[in-house]
Amino acid sequence: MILRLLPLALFVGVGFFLYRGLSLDPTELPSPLIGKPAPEFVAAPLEREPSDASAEAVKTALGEDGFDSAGMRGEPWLLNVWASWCGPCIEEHPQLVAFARASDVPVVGLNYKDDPADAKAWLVRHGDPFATVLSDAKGAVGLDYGVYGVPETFLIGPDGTVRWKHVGPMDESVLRDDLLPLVATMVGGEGL
Amino acid sequence: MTPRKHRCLRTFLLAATLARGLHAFPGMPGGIVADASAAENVVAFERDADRVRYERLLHDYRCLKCQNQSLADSGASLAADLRVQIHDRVVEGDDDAAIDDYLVSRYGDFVRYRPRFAEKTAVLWLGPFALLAIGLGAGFVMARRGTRTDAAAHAAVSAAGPSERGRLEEARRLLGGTGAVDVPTVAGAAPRGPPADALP
Repeated sequence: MILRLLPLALFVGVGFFLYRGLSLDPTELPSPLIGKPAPEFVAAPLEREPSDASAEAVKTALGEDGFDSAGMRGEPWLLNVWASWCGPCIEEHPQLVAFARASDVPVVGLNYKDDPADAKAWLVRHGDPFATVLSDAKGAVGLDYGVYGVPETFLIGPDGTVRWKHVGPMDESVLRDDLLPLVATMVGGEGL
Repeated sequence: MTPRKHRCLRTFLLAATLARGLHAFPGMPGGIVADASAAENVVAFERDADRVRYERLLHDYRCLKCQNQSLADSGASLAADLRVQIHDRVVEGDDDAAIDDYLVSRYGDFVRYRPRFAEKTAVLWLGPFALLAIGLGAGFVMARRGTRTDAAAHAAVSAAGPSERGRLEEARRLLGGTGAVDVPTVAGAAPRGPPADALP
């Protein structure tokens, strides 16, 4: 009797895992950097002056040699990896613009494997939510952050650790349900 | 086909179907390993040992953009970047563990093309063998059950007299050999209709 039920039990068991697998996306990999210190880097900004006058941390970080990520300590910040040749970046851009308006958290753009002239033209056309945009023409910074596709977004805490990563374009629900609540816990002083 | 052969064939097909699943896992025997690189890898090595090591390492890591390809096969720009990184580290003399650490600390466990055997991946590695064992076990038990009923039927037929045997064989043939014909062992007694307890 047990033996008769065995094929059915096996089927149900395997079927359960296959069903779960339908909703898993192998292109969205969990980042091994979560909870670890954000890799420090120095990169050249597209524009010498930060576009957002109120981003103090960004002004500190922008030194003689360029943008030094270590200078962002003390404040949470968003690192958004994008490129002018990236289609989904256009989808996500309104969310970034909305976020930059709604929040005091500076949004730093990492222009990945792109031409600075193309990048500037793209920002003029689609809007500019970035406190500053850094040029990563060879993708070296991206390599350290484990970037394998564009767009990707990192939330880095005031202590310099990576708190959150999102692969792919962010839509409204990601902003509302994931990013903004997380930012609220950090800005409230608990992250310091 | 006699019932015994039919059952054996079914068992075999079941086992073969389960065994095919083995091919699905990367790194398993019979899995697909491409020898030729899709991309042009023009890299300079002073030592041959370095080149050999480099080629081997490229097959050990996954391109995260084209996730079913190793770094050796993928034409994606990310794969090209990682090939350069591995080349530089091999030339500098980093050992395999250091290179592995460099990649996994940035990209996670998935960057290894062949999953490590650890508690987390034990189900992945042992699962197909476990399923195969269950399938073979179940098939074996079912086949033996069939053999036993077969044997009982054969014994009953040979115990009957010659004319009985003829009629019993005829009856078995008509029934397609699927069920055990429960026949009385007393010679000369003709079975009247299907006995009530003839079901297997």
